[in-house]
Amino acid sequence: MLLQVIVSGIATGCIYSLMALGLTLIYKSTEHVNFAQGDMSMISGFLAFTFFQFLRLPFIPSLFLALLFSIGLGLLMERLLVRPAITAPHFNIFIITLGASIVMQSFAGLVWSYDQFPFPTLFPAKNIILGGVRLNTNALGIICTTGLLMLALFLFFKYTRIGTAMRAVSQSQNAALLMGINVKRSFALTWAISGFISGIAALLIAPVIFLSTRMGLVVIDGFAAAILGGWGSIPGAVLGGIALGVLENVAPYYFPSQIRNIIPFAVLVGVLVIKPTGIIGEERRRRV
Amino acid sequence: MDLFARRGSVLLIGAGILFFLSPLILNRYTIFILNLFAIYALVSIGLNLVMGYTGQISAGHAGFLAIGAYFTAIVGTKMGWIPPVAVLLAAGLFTGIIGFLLGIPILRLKGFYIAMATLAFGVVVSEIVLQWSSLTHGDDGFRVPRAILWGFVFDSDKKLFYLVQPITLGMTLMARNIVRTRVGRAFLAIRQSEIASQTMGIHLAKYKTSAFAVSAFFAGVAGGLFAYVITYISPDSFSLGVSIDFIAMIVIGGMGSILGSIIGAVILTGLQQLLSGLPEVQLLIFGVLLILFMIFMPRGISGMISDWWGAGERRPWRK
Amino acid sequence: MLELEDVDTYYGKVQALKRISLKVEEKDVVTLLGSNGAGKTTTLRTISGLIPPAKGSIQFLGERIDHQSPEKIVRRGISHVPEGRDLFPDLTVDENLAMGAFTRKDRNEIQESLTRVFNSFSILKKRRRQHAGTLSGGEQQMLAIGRALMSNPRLILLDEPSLGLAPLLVKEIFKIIREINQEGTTILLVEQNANMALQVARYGYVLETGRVVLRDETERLLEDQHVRETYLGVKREGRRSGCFSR
Repeated sequence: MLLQVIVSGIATGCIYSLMALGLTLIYKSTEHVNFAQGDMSMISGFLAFTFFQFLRLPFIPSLFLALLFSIGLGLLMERLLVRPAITAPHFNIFIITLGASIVMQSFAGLVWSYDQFPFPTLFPAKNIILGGVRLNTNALGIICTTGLLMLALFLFFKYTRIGTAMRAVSQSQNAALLMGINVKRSFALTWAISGFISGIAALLIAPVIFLSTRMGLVVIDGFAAAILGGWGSIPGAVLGGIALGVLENVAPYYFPSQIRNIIPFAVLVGVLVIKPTGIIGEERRRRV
Repeated sequence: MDLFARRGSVLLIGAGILFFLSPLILNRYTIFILNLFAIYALVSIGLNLVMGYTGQISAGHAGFLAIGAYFTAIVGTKMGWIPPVAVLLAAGLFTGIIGFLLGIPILRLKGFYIAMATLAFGVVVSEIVLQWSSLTHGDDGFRVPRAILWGFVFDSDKKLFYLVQPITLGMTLMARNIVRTRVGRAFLAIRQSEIASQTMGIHLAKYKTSAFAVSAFFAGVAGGLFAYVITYISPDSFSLGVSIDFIAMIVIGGMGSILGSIIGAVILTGLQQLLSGLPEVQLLIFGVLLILFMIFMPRGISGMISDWWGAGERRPWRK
Repeated sequence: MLELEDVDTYYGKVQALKRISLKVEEKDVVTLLGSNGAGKTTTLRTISGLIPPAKGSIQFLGERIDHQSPEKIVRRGISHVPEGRDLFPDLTVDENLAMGAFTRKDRNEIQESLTRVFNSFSILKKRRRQHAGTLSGGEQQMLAIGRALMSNPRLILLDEPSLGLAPLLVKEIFKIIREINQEGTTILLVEQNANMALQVARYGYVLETGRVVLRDETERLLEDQHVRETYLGVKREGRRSGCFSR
């Protein structure tokens, strides 16, 4: 029984990890915080929904199309919102993404209404028995998809020329420029990848919590996860997400069930007060 | 006093008198709006002390507003004989102390972490208000008892005008004084560069925490006034969206400027009321405004005004 | 090969370079001397495109590069080794070198360059998989120079290669610099260690507060009274003063 809860906790955690990953990627390479990460997810979800529900396109192609759009959304945000303010303090970009979040939510509300919509799951709804434990295929599907995505990203960043160049940019923009790396393009690519991640996240979350304009609030879990794992650290984002997911699923067993709502915030405040650098804890010294 | 200044102050006094006599001719709704302007301006000014002057992000100020509002409502119900000004003062102090206590662990962190922590704070307050229904009536909402001063009942917007505006005016002047003194300049220095101001001997933690506490005080008093004016409060009035509204106010109005806070509050509250029939459009416009201002006019409207006037002698901030 | 004419550069409102003119001939080693804040690093950063000049022109191989982006300038054949090395600390030695060759396409030629770099800096070969941030100061400097060589440049801009290095290592580095030049690469060297710089370079410019105050062959600069006093720590009587150099 507990194992089942933990597994669904890991599944939820995977989604938080994806959010946290998107946030961390952008932060690591550009030092910007994208408050709209969750809402990007929400828009992608609604786009997919529009494709197969209203335009009657077949299911799988709709998803692919939506993912394409999610990449485009990332690129669009970088071009329209971030680049004009690139020389401004990071605070400004944070507020701009805050504004973008508001715009996306109200836009979605206007276009698709504030109702909740059921979203079909990617994975056949079955329960399988593995090692004597009843496991939900949806949960397993989420875990596997997330795992595959992370593997793909890892291989990309570690072994491809462009991926290494992007890592270089996040470590020193100046030196990257001197290597002949197009730093602006690197930023755009980062946002594109984050957009893609948010798209995948949408396809995984929407079946579980229903498609709605409030879906974007999952970004707060993303923040809590990233901070818990160690803000600015990619393994931290993954770790933090899973830890948060498990915590959220296990806690209602030992505490009153309302605690579920508060957990991300309690974790946030807790980590910040006790050990702000989180589990993996990278402390970047600021050069004066 | 030169001619300009004398004419200016005569105009100002004249405008002030007109303003204070206006409830006699304006209709109820307009007076209500003016009261709202004042209340939100108060929160804005307080928030600006934290964000505009010391440069910390507070994404949870609605939490302080809530604390002030519920404090006032609860005290008003349980101890209705206490004069409203005293209740408001107590609400402010109570909220201010909470702000101070919150500030201590949080303000030593980097800016982004402070934003997250305050955001969490705002939501947690909202949640506590919701859950602790024995005290706050939770989701059902709390009917706020009328303010009574020695038998005089503030039971209309017109009467509330004379409670809200003088208090707002007084606190605005107080804020102005804070900002003009050494303390205010220390705040500004901190925003420009924490490291540099430390080397100048400014005790960072002390100033950051006091800025935070003062802004909580402002929000607490505003919360109490809010309770009296709205007469019926529920957790919905203090959501994350409200905290973001406040941020929008000072961004659009202009950070680091008291005038800016007031302008921002008036514009956004006005917009809200104008578009009250279409909440989604209202939100959309807010978001777009926020983005446009942050990209093209980061110093807000007051920044634009001050550029236009070429105000050389007193430029309280730089981008 | 490289020519700066009346270049003005500003940091915000502060003018860092005032009508700088200098020339670097092909296959030459030219040095820029001067104390802190004289504008040496700024000059290099203006050449490599990190800062655009407000006025003046910069010509490389006959074409103007003064308002081009750093990426384009690298592709023309200028490689800049920044002050403080500016390596990618969390990338390995191999990866840093690979980034140096980012603008090149031919696998075989890149491999050749890599082999040459490891020949010149054999110690780096042992540390291929190590993260650049964990290398010692001397190894980092070697990696920085090696990385710059990986783009197969015609001209290398070297900013303070001796910074923070022990004297023995400094000698080693300068030996390598000489070798690189002998193999055909032009070098523009910025150094505070005037002694070593004047020994390895053929021509030198002395900068003070953003202006060129002296320009001459290094043989003659070594004899110049002002240079000896200010930058070589030699007292009027010819006795060396306590400090090493300025």
